Amino acid sequence: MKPRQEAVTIRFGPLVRRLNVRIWSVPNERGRVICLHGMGANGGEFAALAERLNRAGFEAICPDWLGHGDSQFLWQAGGYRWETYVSSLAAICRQYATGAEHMLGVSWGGMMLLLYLMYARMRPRSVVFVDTPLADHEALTRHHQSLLEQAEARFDSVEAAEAYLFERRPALACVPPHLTEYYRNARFYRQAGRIAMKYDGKAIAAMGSYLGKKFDYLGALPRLQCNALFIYGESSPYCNPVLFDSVCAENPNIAYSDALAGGHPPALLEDAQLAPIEAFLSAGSATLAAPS
Amino acid sequence: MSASSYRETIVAILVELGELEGTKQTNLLAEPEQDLEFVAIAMDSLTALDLCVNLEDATGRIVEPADLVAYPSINRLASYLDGGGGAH
Repeated sequence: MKPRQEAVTIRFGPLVRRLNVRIWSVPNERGRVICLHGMGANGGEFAALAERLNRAGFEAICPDWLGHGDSQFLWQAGGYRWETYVSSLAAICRQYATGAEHMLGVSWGGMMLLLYLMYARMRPRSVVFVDTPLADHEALTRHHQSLLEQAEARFDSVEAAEAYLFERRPALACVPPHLTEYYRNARFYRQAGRIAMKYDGKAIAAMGSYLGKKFDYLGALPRLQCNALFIYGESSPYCNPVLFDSVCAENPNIAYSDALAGGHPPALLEDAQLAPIEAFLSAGSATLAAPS
Repeated sequence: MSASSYRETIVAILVELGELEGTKQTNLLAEPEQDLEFVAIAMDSLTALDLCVNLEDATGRIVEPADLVAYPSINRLASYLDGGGGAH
């Protein structure tokens, strides 16, 4: 099922920007999940997860960050700052948060979600962080370099672009057959007569200004006021079990798993990756679903 | 609140967050025309968010992280909060 798309207008000082939001609705929803993608992707990447969440009774709200998918491209690196992303998320939540929603962030999207929760007074029912780096790591530089190359690549056909993407990230090839065309349209677009990844290379370049800087958000986790699950792929470099064990022991609302199967970085396309997320969100909704 | 009250509040919060040493605070409060760019303080992301949260608590105005980019100094942010829009 195709999502409906809505536009959210955001004001940054004197500037106005437009965000695209993909919404997979379901009748008589039991809850709502706001899903935030990582760098070099867009909300369309959640189609398989959204369909699964729909079947479990959840509505999925999946915005495209600025410079990604069908949201506005700024075409200059200076516009893409973490402050802009966090404020974009504030606008999304003003529009779609009901006070009982769940939230999910992947990679960079998880980092922005964490920063937002440090700032906002909202308290979601639960949050899921997928493969979210909580401290600086050399793997971030390698990932950034790879994304930069992908952002600059141009192709003569969608098929060629897809082959290039799947060679670099095989896990992204596991698209359910009925969603093949949707993912193609979400991942690629025509720019100046050639096919490119559907994100602004300047957004990726801007991310580089944060690389090499020390950061450590692990110490901020006790400030999370809701149930939180951090999940990492089996080969993810971003999970530190020793530190997580310590944080989780002192904060029973926080849990982590470093055993997500299905490849790294997680593509959220396969049952092995979708099932634990659905299970966690469904458990977090148990009290909502119960009759009052 | 006036722009100068907002300014004093911002300075007080930055001191509380450990981002301004005593001398700098004294100078800023004694000389209202003196300004300080946030980038000069080199706040990390969590401290910047704490500034937003504490400013909202103290003033009742919504202060978003992007406001710190649009109005990137103490005086500009104070002017913006006072309704002057801040100078870009």
